[in-house]
Amino acid sequence: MASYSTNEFKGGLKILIDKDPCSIIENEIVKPGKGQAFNRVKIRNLKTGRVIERTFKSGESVEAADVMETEMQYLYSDGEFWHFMDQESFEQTSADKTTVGEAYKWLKDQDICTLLLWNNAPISVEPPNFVTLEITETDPGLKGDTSGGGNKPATLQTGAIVKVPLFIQIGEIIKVDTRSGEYVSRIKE
Amino acid sequence: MIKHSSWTPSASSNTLKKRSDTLHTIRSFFYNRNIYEVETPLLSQYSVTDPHIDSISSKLYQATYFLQTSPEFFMKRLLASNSDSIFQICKAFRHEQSSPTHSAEFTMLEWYHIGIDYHALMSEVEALITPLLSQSIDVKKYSYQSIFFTYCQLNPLNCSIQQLEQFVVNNISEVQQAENFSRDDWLDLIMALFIQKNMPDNQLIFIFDYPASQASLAQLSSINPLVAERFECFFNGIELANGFQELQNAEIQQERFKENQNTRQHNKQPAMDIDIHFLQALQHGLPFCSGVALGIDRLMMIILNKHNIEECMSFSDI
Repeated sequence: MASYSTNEFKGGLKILIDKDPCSIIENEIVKPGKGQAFNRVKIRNLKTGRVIERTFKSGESVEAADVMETEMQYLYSDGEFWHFMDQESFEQTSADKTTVGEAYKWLKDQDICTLLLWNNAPISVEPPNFVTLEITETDPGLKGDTSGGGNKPATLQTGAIVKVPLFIQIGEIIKVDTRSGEYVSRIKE
Repeated sequence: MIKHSSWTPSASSNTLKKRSDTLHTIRSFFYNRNIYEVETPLLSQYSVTDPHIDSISSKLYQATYFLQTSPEFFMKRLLASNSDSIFQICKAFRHEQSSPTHSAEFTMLEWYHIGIDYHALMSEVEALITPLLSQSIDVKKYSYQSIFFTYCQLNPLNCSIQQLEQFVVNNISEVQQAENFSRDDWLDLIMALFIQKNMPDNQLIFIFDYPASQASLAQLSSINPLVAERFECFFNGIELANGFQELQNAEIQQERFKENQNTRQHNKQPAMDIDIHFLQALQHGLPFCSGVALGIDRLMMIILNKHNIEECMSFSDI
């Protein structure tokens, strides 16, 4: 099993903590002149996203986590699993509800997503920064009102609800920033 | 890892001038007190056995020599032979990772004052440092026991290991492989990551009477054998100096070195031979004295209010 010594610690290093894959965010070395040295690290649990702090005695080793980031195309969901495909090898992989998390709201067939794989199984799914989705439901707005004063909720084809300007109608395609969940613009077909 | 890719110095020319002034002031301080300057080798066939200090070794033809982690052994050999108070400003080297407050190669001021105890030496450290700082500062002195009690409500000399661990988990962070921590590891962790971090700014803080298990080369107290006549000095949470009322007994010193060697073996660290010349000097007789080592680069950080040690050194290649 691959492992890292504390003196190899640096930002981005992937290690196993409490059997979960984690990424080092910050590594602080503390060395008393005549005493034991320590590494105090801030780590992100890659499965839960939670940030924790841990202190290590310098010189200890910790198991490496076999984690890699890869781009995959989203294919479809069968309700239980979301299926993705590597566009080079055409290998498919599936992610469950916990792994997909909030990303499900932005997943549209054929979009390219970033998956984090741990021992080749997905542990997180990141949608593209921008997606284009169709409006399936919204109150009829005021046609021609493009002044941009006010907005209304609209449901998208994926089930996500975003705030859109009043002039947006059912059936229109809009661009959304998935990081903030905000409407960006209307896409004219 | 090579950090510095530019040919230019890592310190500004103002910093380097201030550093020159400071070294001048320090030398005058000692000349005025009839403490004279010495130079001792940086390469030696021996180095320290201390399991917390790793030496950098170097080859000279077929032989291995160590870059000195401090000039202590050589200076004590001078003291045993000449009985004069001495000081030295030299480079010291440690096989350690660099950090914003530490460099593997650094400049050390070390001095030994014959005939004074460690409390008198603390006053001398204070007398040296306070005029070098631009602002007036408070000086506080705490015993190791009292600062632990003040900051952590723990008695470091007799609380249980479980209490120390509980304090760390509640106040610092969770610890990886806690089962490998010794009592001194827990104490070091609390000192470095809790007490030092919570020290108020602009105070020169002395901590004295360290636990006997951390005596190193200090005499144990004749009043309370649970503590050693050792002190450290901190400013803004940065460890600046470490001093001892020097152990004169060669047999006890040899025992401590042997214990170090056992710990090294247990931890699977490189074995280190005991410096036999140093022990012979102690057998010959070290005069009653107190000595202290002070990091010059860190002192410059404090004087100039810099947050990275590199900014106080002319160059930093490591």
